[in-house]
Amino acid sequence: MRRERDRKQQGKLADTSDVTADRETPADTATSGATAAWRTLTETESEAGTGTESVTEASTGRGAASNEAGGASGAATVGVEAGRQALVSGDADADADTHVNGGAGGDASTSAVDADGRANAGASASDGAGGGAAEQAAGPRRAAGALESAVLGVLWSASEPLSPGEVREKLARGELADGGPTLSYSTVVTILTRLHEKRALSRQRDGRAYRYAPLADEAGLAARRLSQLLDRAADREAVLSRFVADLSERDEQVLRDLLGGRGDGAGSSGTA
Amino acid sequence: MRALIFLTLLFPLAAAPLARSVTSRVEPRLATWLMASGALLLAGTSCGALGLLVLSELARTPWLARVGDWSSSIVADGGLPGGWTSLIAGVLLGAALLAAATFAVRRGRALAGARRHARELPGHGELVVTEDKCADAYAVPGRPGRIVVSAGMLDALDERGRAALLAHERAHLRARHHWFTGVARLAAAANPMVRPLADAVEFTVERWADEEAAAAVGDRRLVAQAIASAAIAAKTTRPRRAVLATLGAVLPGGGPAALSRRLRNRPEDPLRDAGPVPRRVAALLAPAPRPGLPALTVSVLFLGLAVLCAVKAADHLQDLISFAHAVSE
Repeated sequence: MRRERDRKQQGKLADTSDVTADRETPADTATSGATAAWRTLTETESEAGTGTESVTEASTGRGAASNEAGGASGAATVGVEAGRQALVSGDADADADTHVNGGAGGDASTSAVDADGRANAGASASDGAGGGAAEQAAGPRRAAGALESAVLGVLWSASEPLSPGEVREKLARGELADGGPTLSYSTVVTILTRLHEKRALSRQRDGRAYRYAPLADEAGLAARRLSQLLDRAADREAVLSRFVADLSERDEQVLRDLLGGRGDGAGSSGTA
Repeated sequence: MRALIFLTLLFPLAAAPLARSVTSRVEPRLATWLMASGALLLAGTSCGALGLLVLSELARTPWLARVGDWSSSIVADGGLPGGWTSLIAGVLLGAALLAAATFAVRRGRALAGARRHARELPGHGELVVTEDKCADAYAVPGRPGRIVVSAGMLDALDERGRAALLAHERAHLRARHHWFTGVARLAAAANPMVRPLADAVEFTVERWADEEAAAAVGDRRLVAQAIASAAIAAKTTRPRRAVLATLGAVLPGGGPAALSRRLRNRPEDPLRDAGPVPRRVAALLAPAPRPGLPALTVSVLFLGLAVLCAVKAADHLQDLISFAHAVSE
């Protein structure tokens, strides 16, 4: 069927009805969804309150189930606010959230329950293990999962796998939370290990330590579905504010002339 | 009165030069406000003028005169336009209202759809990063609005470029730019003559967000480079977009407006025919825009004149009808 081929091509998941159909084929889900997880690095301005944790956790779980039925099955949701992340280190007053939904095998239709359940588990785990430092740093509301979010943010914005030491260094530089105390090396290792267990990270041995990288997978399934829906309707496209419009050949030349004339190319990071 | 009504209908002809001069001379935020409200005013007054033409025919029908208790013969002698003129005006007005209503419904649905998707996107923060290899980034209006950035786009930008991108998209959401473009497009749906203003508003909201981003990261050149890198990355990685969307992106700027631009083109200026991205980059490489108060004043006066004409015409009709009313008593 069209939909199976489409999803194997990573990303042409057609529409909601296809997702619904996927719910009935766990086997299919398992093959393409085994590595599936999407993650979102989310960020809000700190003055914008985001409601109570429990409510938002639950809604995240539901979001996981509905958006992701075709992709990840049992989903582990980790979500909470964190301090500013390396990704957006230009921003002084930003809270950052990270949600990781790591897929395992199983039936997609149960993932709503799974997501909620594991989200709570994740939150309490971080209270217990890494949470000591977090509570001191950011108070109880921010404690749950905040460190995981920050760590994931660091790994996300890094171009290569990082060792725990490097993560710790970048966290310190990124001023975790509101400039709270620097994390100890062992806390960072604990967080990384836990994230690895949740399948949010891959790791490879490098000498005596591991290096960690965020898992590459079918993340963004939900958003991709969104942009496809939007693409199909020109009206909807019109309400999005796209960062850059499509470029014609001539535009590209003009751009290169504009920026290239002054000594540095437009594609400053390898896109040229 | 006849002259006033037709004069009112002529004002939208100036939409294209107005858009051009405001876009190039007035600072983006003011320009957006000015042109969105200008589009609305010009479309509103021209629809109003059409309405007056219809009314002046209706007012002389004996039936309505009886109901409203005025002398139809006095109205008929009042030098009002009528007959075929009114019929054509009626048809045009009907078409304009229908087009505007259709647009409003479609745009309303699109906004509701975007709002729903903004809610359904994973997470509950503002930013959503997808693992899409294609470089893409956009803001989805909603409550709260969301910003979707693909991994491909993050790869294309360095850390400060990402900060610029986020600042840009945040500016769109915070200032609710989709309302400005929506209002301008609504006006253009009702009166296609104001379309140049709507096109210009779509450009100046981008410029507005660019300037906000430049203020946020404190470096205009950096934002220019981020835009250029992002656009080139998007071009090289993005799969061919849906035909409709591409057409939508190409047609408004590439139609008669571009042609007329080409006709009076000074060939040595490479930006004349360029798309929005190079123009945004060039504007960021130039010094920060000045408010452009002279052009702003002239435009406001012009719009004021259009409104004055419409109001005077309406006044005239009302006076005539009150007079006919007084006579019949």
